[in-house]
Amino acid sequence: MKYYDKIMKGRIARSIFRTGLPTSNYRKSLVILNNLFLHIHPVKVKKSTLKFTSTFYLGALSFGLFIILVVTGIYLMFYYHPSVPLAYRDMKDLEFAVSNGKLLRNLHRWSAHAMVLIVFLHMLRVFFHRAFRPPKEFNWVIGVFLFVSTLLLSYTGYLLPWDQLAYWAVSVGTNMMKATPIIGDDIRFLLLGGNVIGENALLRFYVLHCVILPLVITMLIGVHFWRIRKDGGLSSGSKQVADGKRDMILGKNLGVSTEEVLNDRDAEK
Amino acid sequence: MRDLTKPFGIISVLFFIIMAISPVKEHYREWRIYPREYNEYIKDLPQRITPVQETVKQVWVPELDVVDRCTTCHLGLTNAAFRDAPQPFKSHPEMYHQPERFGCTPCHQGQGLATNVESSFGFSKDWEYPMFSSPFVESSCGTCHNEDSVSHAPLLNRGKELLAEYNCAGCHNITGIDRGFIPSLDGIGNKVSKEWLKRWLTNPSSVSQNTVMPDFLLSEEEVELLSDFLMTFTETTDGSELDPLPEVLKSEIPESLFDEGETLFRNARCISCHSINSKGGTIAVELGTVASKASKHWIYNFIKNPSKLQPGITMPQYGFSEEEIQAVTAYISEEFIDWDLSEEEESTEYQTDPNFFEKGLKIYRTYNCGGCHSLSGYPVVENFGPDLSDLRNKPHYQLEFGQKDIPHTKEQYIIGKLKDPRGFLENSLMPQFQFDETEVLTITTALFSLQNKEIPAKYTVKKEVVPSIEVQGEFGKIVEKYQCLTCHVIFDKGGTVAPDLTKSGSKLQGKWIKEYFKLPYTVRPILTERMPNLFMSNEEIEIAPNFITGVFRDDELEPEIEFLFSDELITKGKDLYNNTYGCQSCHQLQGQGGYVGPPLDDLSKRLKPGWVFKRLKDPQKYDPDIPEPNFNLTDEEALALTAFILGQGNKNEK
Repeated sequence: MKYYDKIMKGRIARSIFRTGLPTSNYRKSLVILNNLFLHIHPVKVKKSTLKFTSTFYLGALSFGLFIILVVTGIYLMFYYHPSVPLAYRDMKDLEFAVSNGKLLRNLHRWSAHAMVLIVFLHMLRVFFHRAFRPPKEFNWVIGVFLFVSTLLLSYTGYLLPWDQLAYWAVSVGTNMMKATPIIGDDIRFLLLGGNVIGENALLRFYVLHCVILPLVITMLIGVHFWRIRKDGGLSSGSKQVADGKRDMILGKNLGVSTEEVLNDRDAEK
Repeated sequence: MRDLTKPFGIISVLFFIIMAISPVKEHYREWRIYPREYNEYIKDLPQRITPVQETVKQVWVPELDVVDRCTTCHLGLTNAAFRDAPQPFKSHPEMYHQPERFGCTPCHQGQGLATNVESSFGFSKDWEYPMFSSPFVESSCGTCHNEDSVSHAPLLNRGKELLAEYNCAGCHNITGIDRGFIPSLDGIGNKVSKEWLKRWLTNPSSVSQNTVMPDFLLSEEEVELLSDFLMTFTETTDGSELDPLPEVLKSEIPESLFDEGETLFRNARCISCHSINSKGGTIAVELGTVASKASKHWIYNFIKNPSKLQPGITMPQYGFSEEEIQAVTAYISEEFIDWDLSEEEESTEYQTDPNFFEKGLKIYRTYNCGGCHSLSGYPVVENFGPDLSDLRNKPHYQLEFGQKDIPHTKEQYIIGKLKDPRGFLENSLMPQFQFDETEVLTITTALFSLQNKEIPAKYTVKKEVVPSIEVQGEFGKIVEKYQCLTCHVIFDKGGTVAPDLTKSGSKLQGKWIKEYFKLPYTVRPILTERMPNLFMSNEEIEIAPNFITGVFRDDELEPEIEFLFSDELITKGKDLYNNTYGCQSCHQLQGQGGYVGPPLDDLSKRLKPGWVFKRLKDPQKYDPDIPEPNFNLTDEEALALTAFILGQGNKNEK
């Protein structure tokens, strides 16, 4: 403990952890506020929102899957060439030659399928808990964009194995885009980088899947999380937000009245 | 809130176990197991063999786009010590290409990238090219070897021949195989009777057993319409009518004419090419029942000028006089009648359809008759059936199995299609061929060799393209008239039945050639095909030997040696002939010896000494297929043998 104190009170540690150890309530809140990774987290979390049935942890599961997808995705990028002669061969290499390649690829694949499902269930949960109501209406909109991004990631990733399934799925998908009035043909041309599904389409889908869409979804996730906090924390489902008690200037809503908090505490006792 | 430490701990352990499955599986992968087994196996072998490492080995041939990992487990491929080893270490039977340079899948196909047994065969939905079954591996030779005859690939060679023979290119696009001889249908109305045509169209092989024409499985109505349609074509290809039938042939044929015809038929050696009741040559059609097929009128005109009635036919135009033509016609039309044919039964009364021409033409086009036959005014239709030029790489999903109950593999598809072409889809038009099992296998092999994929020139063997030299002038006319190229080769062009004539001027003596044209005899008695008596005119018999001895020469075959055959030399040659080399075991001389080679009597009148000398020195140089052994004779020995062989008759003259 002596050494620990010495290190933590040393100059280097103080330059990194400015607030010191969270020994009092004040310091606890400072730790949260001054930390990049924790500042998104509410200073205090209500026990009721941690109950499984209040959120089914669907948001956290989606985020967890996203992290798995990013990590496995980066691994896969080491082995994958977005080119017509090599793309499918790389799938075969992952299956036959790369150590644990099959696990890697299957983790990515199944996580992707699971993420689409979980994100959808998350959306349903929010909908049925009426958690999209003010002040969370904007976060609902961001959520919808996140859902769309998830689907687009799933779709663009589908082409990359460059097998028959991928080819025809993208054929059907891009032909559906073509059916859009007036701009349909142009959208298809833009997405495929030509009129046929070939080398250009593969490259475009690769860039979308590995660069553009992950960046977009990361930013949206950041905003989504930030807004949860700013809009008054997770909604527990059981306690509804009182409409009149918003503080629009601060952009915050305490969500519950002092009375209710006191009642809660009594109930727990 | 409950204490979650315990569940969290349990879940963590479970998760760890699950995550450990993959590395464990990794350790027991087949590509690790087989090298381990190999290292165990070689310990028991008498030879000392270096153990291998547990790694994936691969052959990478960028030019061929090949990455093959087969050698990871097939570790004894090129080592004769593994001849009796269990798979996968067994050595490869006979290997014509080194796996390090070519990989394995260019020949065997299958999934070269795979590192386990099941996947490497490639019978899964995610691989288009499963491994060939053993007979079809030969097809791979044909992807790089474009020669007519690929050594060690008999099935492929035979298959290619059959593709040409059955004229598959008539309906399908097949790279490297041209559309074969097309019997013209012009003038068919004058040639055959409608009854015969109906029988033929109903089932060609029931009329002529060895025909290459397939059965189109036409309905009775289609047969009627099509034969009515065809019977309207009576003009020859050049638009003229047939010469009128002479009076003598119209009425009862006098016996003397018939007898003369029979003699001529024998002298002309028609059976060298034609078979009669399945006996005789195989070059031309069966004549056993020809009189029941073709009209007397047509036979008469055909013998007079075959290529006028059937352009491109290989039948020579015999130098018969008018009377001789009549005699041969009389003999053929009286002798070769199908007596088994039931008497004309006109029981079924058929009303000719008023629109028979249009309807018949439609049937003619539907079944692509023009793919194999020419009919003036109705052009040949190109590539009617599915394109076969890239069959080797045809994706599996493009094969339509329909209701056919066979394994869904490409091999089974082709085999099934050849056996029962209409069994897959109802609207299929492919006719029924009479293939036997071997033919099906060979044709399938040849078809699998067809691909459009570019193979680098470094890896291919090109077909030898010889600039064709046409024989011109008077002799050229003779060659065309008598269709010499059906059997003989001149300047790398022609048939393989008879000897190459290109150097025969250096081989044969002009006088002998002249005699031979007047009355050809058989140089090799064991052969079926014999030179026919072409009844050439005296003028032609003067021109031809002069041309042959003047033009068809090779300086190499005419060494500047003075051939003086002394008795001493002849005696020495006789000793060499009888004792040293034992020539009599294959050749006949004065009625004694074997039958493999030709008899050697009286050669001095036929052969030039230079040729005999050179030929004895190196038999295979001028004809690579000749079975005569090369004894590496010295000049002296060769000279002595030449003297002995030719000296037999020469001795008295000198």
